[in-house]
Amino acid sequence: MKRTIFPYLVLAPLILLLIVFLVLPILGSFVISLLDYNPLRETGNTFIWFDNFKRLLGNELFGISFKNTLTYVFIMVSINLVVTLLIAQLLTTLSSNKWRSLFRVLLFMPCVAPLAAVSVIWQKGILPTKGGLLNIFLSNFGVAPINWLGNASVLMPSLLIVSLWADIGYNIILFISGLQGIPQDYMDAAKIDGAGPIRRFWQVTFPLLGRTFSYVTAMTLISQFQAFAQFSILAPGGGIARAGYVLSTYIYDMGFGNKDMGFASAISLTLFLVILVVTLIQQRVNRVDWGY
Amino acid sequence: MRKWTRKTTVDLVLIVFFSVFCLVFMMPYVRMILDSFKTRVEVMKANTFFPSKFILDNYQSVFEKTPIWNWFLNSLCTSTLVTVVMLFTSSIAGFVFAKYSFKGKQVIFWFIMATMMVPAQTTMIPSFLIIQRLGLYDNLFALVVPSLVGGFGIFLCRQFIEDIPDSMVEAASIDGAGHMRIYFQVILPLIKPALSALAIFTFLGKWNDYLNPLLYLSDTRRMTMPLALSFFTSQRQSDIGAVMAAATLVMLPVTAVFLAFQKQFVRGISITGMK
Amino acid sequence: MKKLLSLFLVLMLLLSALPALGEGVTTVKFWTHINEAWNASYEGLIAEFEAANPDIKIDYQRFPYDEFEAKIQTSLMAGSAAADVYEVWGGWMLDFASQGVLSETPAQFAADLENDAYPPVLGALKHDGKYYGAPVEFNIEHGAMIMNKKLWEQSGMPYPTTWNELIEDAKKVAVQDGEAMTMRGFGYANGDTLIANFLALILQQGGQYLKEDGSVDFNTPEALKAMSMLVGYTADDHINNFDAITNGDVQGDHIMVALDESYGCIRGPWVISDLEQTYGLVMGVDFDYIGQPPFFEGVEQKFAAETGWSLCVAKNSTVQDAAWRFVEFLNQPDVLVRHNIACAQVPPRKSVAADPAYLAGAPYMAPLLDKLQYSEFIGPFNTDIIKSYMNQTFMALCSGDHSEEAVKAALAKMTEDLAQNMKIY
Repeated sequence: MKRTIFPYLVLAPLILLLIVFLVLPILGSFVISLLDYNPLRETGNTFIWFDNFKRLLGNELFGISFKNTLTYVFIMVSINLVVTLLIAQLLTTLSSNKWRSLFRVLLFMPCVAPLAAVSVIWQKGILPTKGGLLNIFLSNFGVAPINWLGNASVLMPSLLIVSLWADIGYNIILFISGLQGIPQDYMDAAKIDGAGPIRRFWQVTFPLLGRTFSYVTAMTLISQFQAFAQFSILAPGGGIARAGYVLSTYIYDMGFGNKDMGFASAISLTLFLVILVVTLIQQRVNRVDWGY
Repeated sequence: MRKWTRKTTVDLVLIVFFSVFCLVFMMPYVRMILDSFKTRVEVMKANTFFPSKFILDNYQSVFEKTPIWNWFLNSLCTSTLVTVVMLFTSSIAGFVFAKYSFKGKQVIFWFIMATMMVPAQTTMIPSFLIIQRLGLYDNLFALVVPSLVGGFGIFLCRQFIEDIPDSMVEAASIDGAGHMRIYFQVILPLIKPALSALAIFTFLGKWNDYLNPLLYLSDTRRMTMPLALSFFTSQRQSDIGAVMAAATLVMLPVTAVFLAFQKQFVRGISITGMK
Repeated sequence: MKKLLSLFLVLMLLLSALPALGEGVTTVKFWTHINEAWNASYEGLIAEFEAANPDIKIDYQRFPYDEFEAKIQTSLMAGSAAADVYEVWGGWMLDFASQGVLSETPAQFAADLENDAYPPVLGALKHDGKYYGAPVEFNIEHGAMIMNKKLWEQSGMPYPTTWNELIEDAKKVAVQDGEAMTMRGFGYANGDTLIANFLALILQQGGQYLKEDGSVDFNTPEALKAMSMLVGYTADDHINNFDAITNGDVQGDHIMVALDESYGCIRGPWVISDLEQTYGLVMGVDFDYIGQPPFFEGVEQKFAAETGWSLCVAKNSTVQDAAWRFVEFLNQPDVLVRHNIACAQVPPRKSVAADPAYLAGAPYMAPLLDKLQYSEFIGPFNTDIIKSYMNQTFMALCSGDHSEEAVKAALAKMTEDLAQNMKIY
């Protein structure tokens, strides 16, 4: 199309909004991270330059939450991808459209609920040691009650279960549509070659799903790094032995609990950097030939 | 014939498997709804699955102790407004990026993309200070204005508009259609699926937002639905029946909308993954 | 679409314009946390105040406890939209008082408080020699226990009269099932009471944890003994677990008592109204509120207390006079006595505690009142932070090695962590 000023007219207000509500806050966050900053006071917010970042090094709680965040995201994304892909594959195999959409709808339902509500239901109804549905269920198999939120080695798995429950619906839908987009010819050809279902999956389905897979991975990664509600409700203050402390809750506690906003900003910028790096790595690793 | 039988068996096994799986999967919902009809003591005792008697006290207490209708309206207004504007900004920006060439296009596009990766925690505090300087603190517009443009929407729309043949746009242009007319009459009708997907994501995200209302609004009457939960879950209170009732009420509207429009939901979400 | 849009815009503008109604009167915005009994009492007193001061209207709003601190903080950052009078928890108080966002207590009022109030209730209100706000209650998490009368009667045991007896009895009755406790012997460790008991144990041994500069030091033999005792009750004697800290169970200490799942627990009197109103229990029939014996026989029952809930006026409030009038009204002994009774609060003022009307209205306070003289202010810091480290240290020791060496090391680490992370005002 010929050159006009139309694009600039359209984009100017949008970019202005983005600048005010995204770029300025990021820059602001950077400036704050260089300050000894308490927004309550009018004076005394002095520049301490990189002291807040220096404090990160060797800070025990930062170390713990950094490690927990990476562990959580890595395990969460892996399990999420495997489980959702498996469910999607099974649901695609199902030949009844009616049943498939019923299951798909049910599995997606938690995704429309606020995570805060989901977390509260799990906290009050499912996970309690005594009277929680999970322990009641397990007791049928002779399992002694487990303290899901009060045992340092079980806390993170509990959080993973809650997050998975709340989140798998999206990816199941995405994978089902990805799987349905694979031309049947490829499958038939592989079948004729005598490939079993597992080999067919690895040699045909998986490579052809590359694009969906890459998209799903990136989206899940980015959103899980920022997971907040379930951690703040199920593991306040990091929970037992701080086993459920992640960067998002640590930032909130430092900023609003300790009122140390400079330090909180330094952590949040670190989180941003981590997300950026991990996403870039993921994009490299998952680089696929688009289209078939 | 044998193949047909095998397929039926597979189907049957899958249906049974997923029925059981979904039953277990739905348990938190079942628990929530059943507990919301129990008395305080019965919920606390937690030794019954079904309420010994269905009572409405918990719902009554939510309606009496919180201005939940206000919150519902606030949620509805802000989420709808954001969604409508977001659809417009995303599609028109997507149109520009897909169909125009202009100086700085690549740079601006990638700049917008990069904004998607910024965690909310990074911008939380400075955003608050900006909202405050703009005089939007404790004003519902504080929930609206910052969310009117989003990288994801622009990206999604651009992908879809790129698929529209240039010839169609050019033909319209030759017929004397201006930029806006092309946008409204050629582009918009063709990207409806993408727009419905975007509408779903935006509306859900806004409806379920917990942190921003918490920070930006101070007057209880101006808050939004998800905050209803925290009114009954404080450390120093223990009214779990009311918590479950509040949770049920918070989830009800979106779940109802989802169930009513499930086909559109599923199609909309599927679409985002294919681009 | 455009019509729809403008409709929404108009609707929202209307909504945001709501509180601007009413003319000729000064509106004082008043914020408290949610507690049904307390809120009801405030409402009654507000009506009284408004009747006596027709030129002032109180706009009363309440917020969930969990969010209240962040809420106060953000609203104080936001200048004029903030509330005028805040109910601030003493544990957070110094974070605000030290930043110049609160208005100084008028001199005469401050002098009156200094004379009449117990030291802990003023501790966190004071910064650099000035007072910011006025106390409404004496927060106490040590000194009295909620006892499940039915369970004790069934067991045939009388209420224990010494701490050691209490522990021995609790050991006999506690029942554990996997990681769940089906019957708790005695609840002494929740988010509020664990630190209170730890510090009281140190003080009752004649030790001290506060240093000159207000920082804390737990590298003492008294702290070692205190921590070892507390850890032992859970890790070795199994009279309790830490569900009340981790929220692993949905129930707080006193609710487990209410549900007949615990023989008793240490708690402040504020839970009495919860037991009576929420669970329909009757004091003297279902439960008793009795004095907690000192940890060691024959010692003064010293304890450290946090500053309780106090009322503060925002410095940027445009209605300073009206706001302080309201605060002073609530703080008058004859008003306070009714408020303290209605809320099951220990009075912050000695004159109210000595008022026979108080004990007549709240007879269950008797075991606490004669202990107030042994109270000390906990220290000039945000108590959430010390509680958080205390809880973590306690749970780590309970779930692992808790030999003398391990406890010593944990205390040293806690002291160091607090030195690094807890601001001293």
